Amino acid sequence: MGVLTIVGGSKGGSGKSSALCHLAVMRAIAGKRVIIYDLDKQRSAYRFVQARSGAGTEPSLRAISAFLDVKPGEDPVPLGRALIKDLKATAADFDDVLIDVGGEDNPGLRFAMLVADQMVIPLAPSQFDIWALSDLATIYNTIASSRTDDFKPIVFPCLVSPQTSEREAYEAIKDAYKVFEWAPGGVMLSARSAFRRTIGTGQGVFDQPKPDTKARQELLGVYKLVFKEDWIRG
Amino acid sequence: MAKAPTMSLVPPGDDHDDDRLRRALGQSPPPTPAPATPPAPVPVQSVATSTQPSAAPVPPKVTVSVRMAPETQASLAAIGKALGWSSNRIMTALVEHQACVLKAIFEKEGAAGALKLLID
Repeated sequence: MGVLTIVGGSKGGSGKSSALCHLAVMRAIAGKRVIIYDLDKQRSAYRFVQARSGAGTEPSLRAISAFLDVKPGEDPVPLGRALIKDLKATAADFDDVLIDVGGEDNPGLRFAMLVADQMVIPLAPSQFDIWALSDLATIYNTIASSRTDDFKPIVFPCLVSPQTSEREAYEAIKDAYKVFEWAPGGVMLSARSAFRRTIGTGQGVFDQPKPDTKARQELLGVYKLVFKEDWIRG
Repeated sequence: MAKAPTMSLVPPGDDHDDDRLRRALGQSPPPTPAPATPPAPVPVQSVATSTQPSAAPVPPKVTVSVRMAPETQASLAAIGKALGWSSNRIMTALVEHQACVLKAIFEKEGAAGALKLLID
């Protein structure tokens, strides 16, 4: 049974889809069977895989787009039931299912949080993102009461400026949101052009013959945070 | 390249699972066994192929009128505001719940049991 990992829960533009795509590429290069399960209406991660497929980049990635489009007045529960069934069926076929969820509160996010094995939240350093984290804390408390395990999302800084002040700001935020786990110091993704440069062609940093050194180092840290092991080319 | 859509018709889940899903949405679980929910296809799209969502038929309902004290109705409105529910929606949940309880007691204990429930 594969691992269901949510990457997201943060505000749009926090770099979650980008982080997820780079992690998926790394996981595939490591020889793992990985699939992206895109629940985000924007389908950014899904489009990334489309672009990768179109370019014929190996190793290939797979993706499912399944945004839960709940109409006004429609009961989302049957859709949730079907989603959970499919997530579990997908996990049976892959080593890792990376789930991209939308930036705002939505049924897909909540249902995925019910069954995910783990969740990582990329947090960008803006007040808007911190407010969104506050909303997510409320959602998490609701979800946690329906789970019997110790499911606890892990926050890691994303889109961080290399300036020290922003890094220090996270220390202050940590104390306010102890409901979440926080990545160890130094585990973060900075605002680097290397993360954005290749996305349009469906490639990740690790597809490059000579990956940007700092981007590579940061991704290795986040990879270990998510997959609990060091990255090794498969 | 792409994984074929695996989503298929899903049979109704049990009430426990549905209650869990409703709690996840921040909703109060309906207190009664819900009518059998029609199979729900979820719109899934793989990189290579796509399926279109289809609408799930809604079980038919009948409308009944309920008389109640104005202060009770006012309380319902206040509770509904807190829940984001209309008074009618709350009454639907309450009535269906209690009707099912009454039906179960009537089938088990007969008229005497049903009457006791109504009077108590």
